Amino acid sequence: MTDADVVFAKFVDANPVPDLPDLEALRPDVTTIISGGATRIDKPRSAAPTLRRGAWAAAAALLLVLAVGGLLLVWPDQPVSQPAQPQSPEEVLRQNAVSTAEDWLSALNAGDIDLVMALSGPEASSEADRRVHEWQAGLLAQGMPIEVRGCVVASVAGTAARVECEVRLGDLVAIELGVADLVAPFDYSDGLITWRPYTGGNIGDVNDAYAGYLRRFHAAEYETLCSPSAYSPGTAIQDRGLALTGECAQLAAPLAADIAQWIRDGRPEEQP
Amino acid sequence: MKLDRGGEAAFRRLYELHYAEVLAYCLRRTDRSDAHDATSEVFLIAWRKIDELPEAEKVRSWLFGIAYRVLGHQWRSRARYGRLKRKVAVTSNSAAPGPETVVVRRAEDRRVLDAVRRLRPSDQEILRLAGWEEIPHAEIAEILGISVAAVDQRFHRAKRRLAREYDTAGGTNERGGAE
Repeated sequence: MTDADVVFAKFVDANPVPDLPDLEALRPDVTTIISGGATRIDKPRSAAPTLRRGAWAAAAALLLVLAVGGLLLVWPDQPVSQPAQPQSPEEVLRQNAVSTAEDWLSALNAGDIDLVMALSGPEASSEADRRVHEWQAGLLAQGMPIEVRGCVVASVAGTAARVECEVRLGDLVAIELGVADLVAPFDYSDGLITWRPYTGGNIGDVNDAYAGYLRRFHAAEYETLCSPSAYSPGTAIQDRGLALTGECAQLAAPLAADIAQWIRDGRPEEQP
Repeated sequence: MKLDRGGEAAFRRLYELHYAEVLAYCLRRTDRSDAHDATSEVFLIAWRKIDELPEAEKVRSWLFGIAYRVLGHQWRSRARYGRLKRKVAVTSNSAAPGPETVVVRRAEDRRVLDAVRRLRPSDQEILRLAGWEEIPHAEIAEILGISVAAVDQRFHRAKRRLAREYDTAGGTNERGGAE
C-alpha cells in the first residue's frame, strides 16, 4: 500500500455523510415536483406547510388550466406556449464560461486580485500571474480600467470552452499607440478561468514604450522595479524589457500620460 | 414534459430510490441549505427530462451528472462579484471551514479534508466520487463527460497530490502513528 493509498483511505474514512438511511426521512413528497412541474421543492420543515404548499400549487395549477382553456376557446389558432426546455449541458457550459470570464474581468477591474486568483485555474495561479494582475491594478489605480464590451464563447471542447471578450484598454499608452481595442481570450474549465495573451493588436508595442521611456528617464527606478532582471526567473511575466508587476506599475502607471505625450512627440531624448 | 402514467411511475420510483443518494452527494459538497436546494433542482430537471431516463444501471450516474452541473452552476451563480468575495477564502485554499468541517469527527479527518480542499476542483470531485460515492471509474467518466482513461489518470494523479498536500500539512507523523 503506497502513501497515496493510505491518505486516500483516510479521506474515504472522513466522509462527512457516510450513511444514507437517515436522509430518507428528509425526502419531500414527490407530488410537489410532479404537480408543480416548474415549481421547486421547498426544504422540508414540517408536514403541514408542505401540504399547504401542495394545496396552493394544485389550486394554482387548476386556475392555470382553466385560464389556458379559456384562451383556447377564444383564440383557437393561438399556439400554446410550451414549458421551458431544460438547457443542454453545452448551453450550461457556454453560459457559465461567459459569466465566469465576466466575473474575472469585473474582479480585475475592481482591483480585487484575491478574487481574480480565486477564479483562476491552476495554469494561471502562479506568482507571475498574480503579479501581472497587480500590474493591471496599478493602471486601474491611475484611472485606466479595462472596458469590457462583450464576451462570447468561441469554441467548446468537451467540458472546456474558449471565451473571447472584446475589451478596450484604458491604458493611455495603448490608446496612443492605437492598440487599445483588443480581444482577451480565456480558457474556461471546471468553473475556473485561464487568461491568455491579448489578440487583435500588438500589446508588445505598449510594453516596449513603457520600458523605453523608463530606461531613458527613470533608469535607476527602472532597474529596481521594472527590469526583468529585478525579479527571480519565473516570478514575473516580462515583455519587451518590461516586468509586468505591481511594483513596476507604481512607477510606470502615473507616468502613462507623459509617456503618451512622449510618443506623440516622436520619442525625443528630453522628457515631455 | 412527460405526463403519461408510465413516465410518472418511473419518476416516482427514481425519486424514492435515489433521493437519499443525491442528497448525500450534495451534502458532501456544499452546505445543508444549498444541498437541499440543489437536490430539489436535480429532481426537477430529472422530471423534465424523464423521456431521456437511461437504463436502470446508468440512472445513478445520470442523476449525479445532473447534480454535478447543478452544483457547479450554483457555485458559479454565487461567484457573481460580491457574493463570491465572501467565499474567496475557501476557493483560494485557505483554512476557512467548508461544509464538511461541520461534521468532521476527528482532527485526522480535518487534516485530510483540508488537504483535499487544496487540490484543483476536478481532482477533488474525482476523489469524492471514487471514495465517498464509491463509483467505478467508468461511471465517473460518464458523470464528468471525460474518458475512462482520463479518469484513471486523474484519479491516480489526484491521490498523489492529496498525499503530498497531506504531508505538507504535517500528516506524515500521524500516518506513522508517532505524532
